Amino acid sequence: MRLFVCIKQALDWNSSTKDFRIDPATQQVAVSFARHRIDQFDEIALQVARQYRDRTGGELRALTVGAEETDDVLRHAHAMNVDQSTLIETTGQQASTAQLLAAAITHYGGASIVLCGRTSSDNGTGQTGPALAEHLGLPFIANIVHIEGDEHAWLCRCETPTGYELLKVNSPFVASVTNAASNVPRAPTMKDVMRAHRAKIDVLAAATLCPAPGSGLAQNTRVTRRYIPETSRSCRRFDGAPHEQANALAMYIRSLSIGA
Amino acid sequence: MKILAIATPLDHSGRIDELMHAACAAAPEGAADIHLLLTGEHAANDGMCAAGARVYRLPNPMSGAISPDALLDIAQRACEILDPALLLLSADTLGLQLAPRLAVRTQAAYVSGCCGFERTASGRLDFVRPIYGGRALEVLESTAALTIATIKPKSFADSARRDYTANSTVETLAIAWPSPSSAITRMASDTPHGREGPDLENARVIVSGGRGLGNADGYAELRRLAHVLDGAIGASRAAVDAGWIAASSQVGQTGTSVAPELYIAVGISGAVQHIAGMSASRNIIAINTDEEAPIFGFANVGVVADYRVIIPALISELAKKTA
Repeated sequence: MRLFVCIKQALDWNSSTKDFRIDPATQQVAVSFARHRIDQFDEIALQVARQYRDRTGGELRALTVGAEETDDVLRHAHAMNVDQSTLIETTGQQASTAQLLAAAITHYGGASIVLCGRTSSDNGTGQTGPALAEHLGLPFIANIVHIEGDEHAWLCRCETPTGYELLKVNSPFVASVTNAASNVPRAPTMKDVMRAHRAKIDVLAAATLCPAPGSGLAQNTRVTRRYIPETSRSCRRFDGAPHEQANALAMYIRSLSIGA
Repeated sequence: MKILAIATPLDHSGRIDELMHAACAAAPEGAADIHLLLTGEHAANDGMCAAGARVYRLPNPMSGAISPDALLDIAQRACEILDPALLLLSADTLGLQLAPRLAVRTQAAYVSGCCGFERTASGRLDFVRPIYGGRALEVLESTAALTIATIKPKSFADSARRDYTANSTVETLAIAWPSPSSAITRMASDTPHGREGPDLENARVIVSGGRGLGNADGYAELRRLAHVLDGAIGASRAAVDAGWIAASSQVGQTGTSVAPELYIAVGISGAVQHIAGMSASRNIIAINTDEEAPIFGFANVGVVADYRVIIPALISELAKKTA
């Protein structure tokens, strides 16, 4: 059984919001704290894949698309116990991420299960998983929280707008993963991190995987501008003794006439 | 410009209104050519009439089950028949998975979670969408003949309607419902979320706690306040990770995005992860012992204090009023 998890690098979203700004020259986010790590949504996908692999077996490979320095996220995936990892190395603008991931998965002989994060914390389009399913010609399942069962008789627990449903799946599939109490990523131990440091990372050149990318999602839109909307609120502070503060808060809440 | 909106069975009447408002906002002045395909048991509503849309009905013959694959095939056929320049879907669970797949099939441009349109001096329609969990916006130009956009809920709710005199006509479209996929079978459906109190997403008041609570017991105080305000309980990721409260209560980028009338953030520092999920709240109160906490930069009202003292005092102040 071949399991793939597609991951990407993002800003560390547990960092402070204070320094978030867009550089007008590059149209990129410029943050002085700028610490990069694996995207939090993808980390949850890794956790679900690893839980399934640990119970059922199979080989788990992490895939990422990016420049050479992006291999940090694959080290993190190794610390979370993936068996193999691949950097699809890009040099400049090429095929779309979904096209490259599909080509890499085909290169490895196809997949039983491909998992992605529900969305990403930077662009937040949520398009890579569904587009990847389309490129691979596989069904797509949204918002999985847990997978059980064996090859071609998988049981997927999925979040719906109103609750959860259980789907039986009898063909290979691509799915997005969403968070639940059962899949909170386990922090790697020091031993995991040391082992991850020595792990071998495979590299595939994007230009070789997709020599003629043609038309993909990436080619059909162009960013003309990025900016931070004016949403900051001027915070009114209530000082004084606790009972004065509580009184001011109560007055404020009443003024909103929420109808409690 | 021909605009086609597709309402999935998940779209309630309010969402269809929003799709129609978005279509009106995107249409060039005086040259609206708006089409609406209803794939569920939708009744006529104000939005489609106001937009003067040509309405097509395609009710699902299979009762209950919604197959994304079947909807995808239908959307593709509708594009072939009607040949729109812009296709709109709701940015919900279904729309967000259908639209990128349809875009790959039709070699279209895709705009995820569109929240506005801009028209350039030359008359080109550009698309505005949030990035970084809503902390910033980007403007996209489409370079394809067809652009597919998913419409972010609530973004076009209050758009000024144009006064179209034409009434909507209802027609049928010659598309047969595909047989459901045999690869996926629904075994059991909709065990509800184990959320406490009112539904987090629709609550008018949310009392939310973070790492600053110090321990799981802190939520007892928050629950008392939430009870008084008829609110829901929320939490930051830090509190969920610490195991103090269920993940289903998590507000933020990896949790639930909320926009209540009043959001009370208690012991929450204001990490981007959290702000991204609650900054659309109409009124925000921050209670924190750290006066430097970034959350104060997003709040309307702030109190630098220990919640263990302030919240009981606030509860009794609120009780005075109702007494």
